[in-house]
This record gives sequence, C-alpha cells and structure tokens, in this order.
Amino acid sequence: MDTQNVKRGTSGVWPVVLLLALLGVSLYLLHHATQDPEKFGDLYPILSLVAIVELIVLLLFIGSDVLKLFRQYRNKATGSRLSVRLIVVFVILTVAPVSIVYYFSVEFLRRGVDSWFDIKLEAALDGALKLSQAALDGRMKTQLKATRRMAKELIHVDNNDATFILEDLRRTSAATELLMLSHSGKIIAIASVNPAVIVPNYPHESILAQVRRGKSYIRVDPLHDEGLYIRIVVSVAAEKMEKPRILQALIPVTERINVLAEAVQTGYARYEEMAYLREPLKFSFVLTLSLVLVLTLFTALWAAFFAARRLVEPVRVLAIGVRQVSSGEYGWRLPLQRKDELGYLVESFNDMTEKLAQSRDEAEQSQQRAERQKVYLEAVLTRLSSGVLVLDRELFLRTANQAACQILGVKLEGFIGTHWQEIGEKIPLLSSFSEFITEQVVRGESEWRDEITFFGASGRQVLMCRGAALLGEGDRAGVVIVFDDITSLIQVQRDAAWGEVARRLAHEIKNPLTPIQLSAERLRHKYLNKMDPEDAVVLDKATHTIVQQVGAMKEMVEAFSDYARTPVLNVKPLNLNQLIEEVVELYQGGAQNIRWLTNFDTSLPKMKADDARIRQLLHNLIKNASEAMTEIEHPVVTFTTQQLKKNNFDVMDMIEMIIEDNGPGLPKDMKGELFEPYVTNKPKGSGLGLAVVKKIVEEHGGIIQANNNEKGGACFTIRFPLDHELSVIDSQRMFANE
Amino acid sequence: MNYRIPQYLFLILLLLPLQSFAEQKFSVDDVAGAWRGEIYHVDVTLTSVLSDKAIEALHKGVALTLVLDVEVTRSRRYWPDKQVASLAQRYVLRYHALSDQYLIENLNSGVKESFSSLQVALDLIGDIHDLPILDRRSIQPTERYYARARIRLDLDALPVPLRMFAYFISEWQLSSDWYIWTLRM
Repeated sequence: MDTQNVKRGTSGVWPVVLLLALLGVSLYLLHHATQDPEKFGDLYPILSLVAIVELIVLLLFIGSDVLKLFRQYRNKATGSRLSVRLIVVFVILTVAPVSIVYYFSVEFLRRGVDSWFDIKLEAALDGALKLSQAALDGRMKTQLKATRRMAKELIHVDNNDATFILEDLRRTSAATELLMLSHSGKIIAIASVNPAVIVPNYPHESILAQVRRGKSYIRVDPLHDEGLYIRIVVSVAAEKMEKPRILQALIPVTERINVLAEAVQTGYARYEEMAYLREPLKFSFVLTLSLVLVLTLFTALWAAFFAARRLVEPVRVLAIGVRQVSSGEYGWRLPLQRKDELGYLVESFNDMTEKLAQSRDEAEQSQQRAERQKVYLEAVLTRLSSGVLVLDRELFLRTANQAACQILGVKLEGFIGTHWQEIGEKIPLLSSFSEFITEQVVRGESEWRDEITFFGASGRQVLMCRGAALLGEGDRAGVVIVFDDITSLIQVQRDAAWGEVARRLAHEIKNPLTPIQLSAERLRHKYLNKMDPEDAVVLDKATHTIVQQVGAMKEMVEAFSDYARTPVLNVKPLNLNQLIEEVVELYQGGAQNIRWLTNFDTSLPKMKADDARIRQLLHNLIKNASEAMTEIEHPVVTFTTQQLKKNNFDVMDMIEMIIEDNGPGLPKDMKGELFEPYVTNKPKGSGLGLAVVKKIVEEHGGIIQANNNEKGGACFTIRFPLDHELSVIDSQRMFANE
Repeated sequence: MNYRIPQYLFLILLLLPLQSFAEQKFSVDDVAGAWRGEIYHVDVTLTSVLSDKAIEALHKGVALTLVLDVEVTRSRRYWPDKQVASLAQRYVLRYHALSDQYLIENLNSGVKESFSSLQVALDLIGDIHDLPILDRRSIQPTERYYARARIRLDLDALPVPLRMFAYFISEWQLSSDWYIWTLRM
C-alpha cells in the first residue's frame, strides 16, 4: 500500500461527469425530437445512436469499476467489503424507486397514447368518410346520368362539329370541362369553363382502356389545387362501322361539400396515420424512457461507486494506517482531506500515531539507557576479580561474568538460561560446587556466606561464596552469588600460622628437651649406683622413661618441623604404578602379613611429580592402613590406578589413585577433621600422617577424599592433575581443612 | 401490445450488422441516355413493388417518398472518381381515402396526378422520359464519364416514429441496385 494508493479516490470524475452531461443533453434532444418531429425529427435516429453509444461508454466505465472492485474483493483488499455493501445499498435504493417509476411511466404512456385513439372516434371518422362518400355517390349517379345523356346527344355529332356541340352541352350541364376523345384516345374536342385551358385534364390510359371495354368510369378525383371533381368517362356509341368515341366530363363538387369533404379526408387521413404510427410512437417514447432509465441506473451505479469510494477511502486509509502502526510504522501520517467526522477520525489517528511514536522513542531511549547500563555493568562485572553468578528463582543461570568462568575454569556463556543443576550434571567438575550453591539457594536466606573446597579445573580450590537474594521483578527475583578464589590466601595464612607454630615449637618445646634429657641422664649416673637396689630400679625406670619420652618428643617436634617446612619440589616424570610397586615391596612379608593387591591401569601416563614426596605419601598411607588393621585376621590393601580422560567441559586429564583396606573404616565423628594435624584415634599416632598426605597431595595440585567403602574399610581417593604446570604453582599451597 | 416482440427485436437488431435480407423489389430495368442539343437526357424504366408494410402504411395515410437518384461521375486514373452531376427526382405517393385514389406528386416539377390503382401510380413513376441531368458545358469531351441510377424509398421522409423501425427493418429498406452505364459523347 503506497501513498499514491492512499491519495486516490476522486480521480476519473470529470470524464464521467462530462459523459453524463453529454448524455443528458442527448436525451433532452431525443425527448424534444419525439415531441416535436418537425424541429428535431431528423436528429432522432442519430441522437438515439449517440445516446446508446454514450451509455455503452458509461457502461464500460462502470464495468471497469466493477472489475476493479471484484478484484479488490477477491484479494480481500481493505475497504472492498464495505464498498460492495455500500454499492449494493445504493443500487437497491436507486433501482427500486426508478423501476417503479419506469413501470408506471411506461404504463401511463401506453394508456395515454392509446387513449388518443378511441374506437368511437375512429368509428365516427370512418362514418364521416363513408357519409362523405355517400353524399358524393348520389351526386355522382346524377352526373353520370347527365353525362350519358350528353354522350347520346353526341352520337350523331361529327368530329368537326363536336367542339361547338360540346360547348353547348357544357353550358347546360354542371361540368366545367368536357373532353371528347377518339377511340384511340386522340382529343377531338374540348369545352372548358376556362377558355385559357388548352391542355385538358387528360384521363389516364387505364381509364380509357376501361371505357373501351364498355365500362363507364366515375370517380371523385382530387384535382390538385382545384378541389374535388367528379371525373366521369363514358363511351359515346358509334354509328355505322366507326369505333365508339369517349367523353370525359369533369364536374366540380360544390364549394361547401368540397370544404367539408376535404376536412373529413384530412382528418381521417391524419387519424389513420396517427393510429398507424401509434405503436412506433409508443416504442419511441418507451425507448426514450428506457434510455433515461438506463442512464439513471448507470448514473446511480457510477455515483454509487464514486460515493462508496469517497466514503470508504478514509476508512481504507485508516485501515492501512492501522495496519502500518500495528507493524510498527509509527511515522505513518494519513492525508487529512476533509473536515467531517471521518476527517476528525483521521486527525485523531494521526495524533495517536504521533504519541505512539513519541512513546516508542522514549522506550527506545530508555532501552538504550538500559543497554548502556547493562554494558557498563558487564564491563564492571568483567573487570571484577570476583566471580559473579546470577540465578533466577527457578535456578536458571542468568548471568555469569568472566571472572566466574576463570575461577571455575568452565566457559559458562553457553549455559546462560540452563538450569543450574543441569549444568552441574553436564560438567562433573562443577557438580559439588553446583550442589553447594543449590543447597544454599534452596535454603532461601536473603543473605548467606560460606566457603567451599572442591576439585576444580585448576585443581583443588577454596571459594568464598556470598549470596544475596535479588529484589525486584516480583516473584521472579533470583539470587546473585559472588565468589572469590581464596585458595592462595588460605595457603598464605596457613603458611604463616604453621611457620609460627614451628618457631614456637623450636623455641618453647625443643630447647628445654635437651636439658631435661641431660638432667635425667645425670641423675641416673650419679645416683643409680649409690642407691638401694629397690630405689635404683625405680630411678632406672623413671630416668629411662624421661629419656625415652624426651626422645619421642624430639622426634615429634622433628616430624612437625618437617611438616611445617615447605620443601622445594623436585618435579620429574614419574611412573606412579612403578613407584607404588617399589614401596609395597618394602612391606611385603611384614609382621601383620598383609596382602597387597594392585589393580593398575597399565596405560597410565607418567605424571610430573616429586618422587620422594609421593613415596612419603605412600608410606604414610600404608602405615595408616596397617596401623588400622592390627586386629584384622586377613588384612588386605588394594591399590587402584586409572586415568580420567578430559571430557567436554574442559576438565583436564587426571590420574586417580585409590587405596582401600578392609579395616574398621574411618570413625564417623572424625571425618570432618581427618586431615588436620594432631588428629588421631591411635594411641601411638602423631596425628601428622594424614595431614602430611594431604599436604603432599595439595603440593601436587591434587585432591584427596576419604570415605568408607561399602564393606566397611577405609577408602582414600587421590587425584593428581596431569598438567603439572598448575601443580608447580599449587605446590606453594598449604592444605586446608575439608 | 402487438409491437412487443418487434421492440425487443429492434434492440437485438441494433447489435447486428445492418443488412437487408428482403427480396429486391425495386429495380432499374433500363436506362437510355441521349444528347438533345447541349443537354443529356435519360429515359428510365423502373420497377417498384412496395412491400406489404409500405402498402399498409400508405393506406393508413403515411406519405411515401420515392427517390430516383441519378449521378454522373468522371472516372479518373490516379484519383478517386469525381462526381460532376447528381439529380434526385422525388415522387411523393399518397392515398386519398375519400376518393380511393393514389396521388403522386413530383416534387421536382410540382406536377400532381391521381390514379385509381396503386399499380398504375407506380407504373407512372416507373416510366420516366426525357429527364435532363447534365449540361455539356460541365463536362470535358476528352474524359470518360459514367452514370448510375437507382430508385429507393426515402426513409428520412417517413414520420419520425416510423423512421426508427424503417432503419432497421428490412421490409422498409426498399432500394434498387445502382444501374451503371457509360456516357457517350
């Protein structure tokens, strides 16, 4: 729908108006031609043709309009249905009265014309004519007798004397002219009342032929310019062997009769002609009337089209405008063409679109503002070192900043709009983090703060998470989670703490031990030999115990010192399977008679590790296991190794080592602090074994978990990342509690 | 009501090509032309048989005008032929009911005659003598001339209401073919 289409509506008026005017003039002339044949009669047929041609042209105009409308209707163009309805109404409103008027006009016309021709009048005229003829007949018979008498008198008259005799006869008769012809028709004599007449009124050959056959001719003859005459032609009987001659007498009708007869003749002829022309006349009127009817109908039809177009146009334009607006074209302005209600409607529409455009612009502006804010926020979020996650109320991930991806080691952009638990399921690396977050969110606290340790993409990680419920958007509000990787921070803190502990131990505990030991030994040397045997035994026992315990204490301090010390790792490619075998070999055939089982992944790649530290790790674990199984009848320790392949979620390749025993398992109450220093359930344990194990694991960027397996034994699962670059960094870390 | 059908027929006929399918009742039978002094005269023998409709109209008082058209044309080689003289001899035929006579008026000469029968009246029109049509001064002796003649019923002279029918109804379209002859110098 273009603007040109919108502006259309009043075009093509003038040709049709002109045509209608022309048609009107034609019909007017036609009407006058019918009424006044003398003046316009000659124009009538041409006018009829012109009117018909004009009607055909008008019909073509209307036809084109109808066709156009039909197409529009079929294409369901805007306003076409309304147009059709309007046109139908217009046409019905026009056709009905016009048809009625036409019908009655035609009837009236027929009756009117017929009423001119009365049967009585016709009979009267006929009677008048007959009467006239009868009146003339009487006179004709009298005159015939007189003429025959004259003919008898002429029988013996010689041709040469005929002129005089004829003249005499004429004078005594009523005839104005007597003419005597020979049998062959040659003029013999002529006697006329008018002496100037030289050329007689000669009877036609057919009359002569009739007379020659012996039959008299008598007729009223309307001699031109002279009124009615009675023409009598009789045969003049012949004498001897001559052929009969012919006598013609022209007897004028009396002036009065002549006038009356002429009036009767004229009236009769006129009436007869009129009666004869009655049907053609009626037809002419009906034709004119029909043309007027058709013209009226066509005009009405065309006017209906025109009016419908004019009426529907603003509606159509409005519909187009509404469609444009509904498709988002708010800049659409309708042409204001009229000042009526429809014009007011168009004006209101334009106001409305203007306001819509304004509010759309405002909406766009605020959207742009929001966009800018969003970009700003994203920029802030991107540059934020803390990870930020936003989950909605249904736990679908809405936002994850770059730092979050970096800290978690997972590209989360692809998971925007995914359910948080689903993400946990798809990325095993995030499963514990996901569960943790879910738990916190489900708890529904408006604010919370907690710490999580999990095995992330870059190894063991400690995250400090803070969550806050989001306000706004009603019940669609979600939760924002901000977390920081505090692994390094904790390590530094613990480094400092344990360094302090180590220094204290060195100064406060280790230093007094030697004087205590020396003093105990001096007491023993000085007084053991001088005492009673009984007391000597006591002293010996006491000093021995002191020395022994001080030694143990020294060992303990030494071990602790060892633990606190942060060694520099000597990283080399290491075959873990081989190392395990070597270490286990040392314990073969020991006092406890433990069965050592191995379940190795033979394709295990070499890991980068410090073999001395890993060896110590194994020793500590084996020691821990064997100590736990002292009261077990058939102790079994199983080593399992396997490689965990990197999956789709950027989890690095890892080596997993599982050490299981069939001992009593881990006490449940200790599970949380199992790897803390000085935590032990053994009478002789230093409490540092598993702490050292954990430390070594963490030095290599790995993670350790302790569980009880289904049969009740303890199960330690250790995972080392294969990518040692991270391990080297991780080697600087201290351990953290679970 | 009798004319209902012809009325509709008329409208249909409007849309049909105008064509006469009535039998030819008018004809020019013979033309004899001769120079008398400087004037070219013709004697024309015609046959005019009116159709029933025309006779009916005549008896009902309608005057019929018969026209004898005579045209003289110079034939030209490279140009369309040029008409040098034309003559329309008009006869008005009327019926006089009172006297039961048929009146013929020659509109060109003003001569009026009455006849007791239609045939006689038509015979009079059908036998024309010494009709002067051309002056020698209006032609060039070196050129070729031909003339033609026809007799027809003048529809334009009919009363207006009847004329509409006459144009489209074959019974009214009475006209002979052109009778063509060459002028001898």
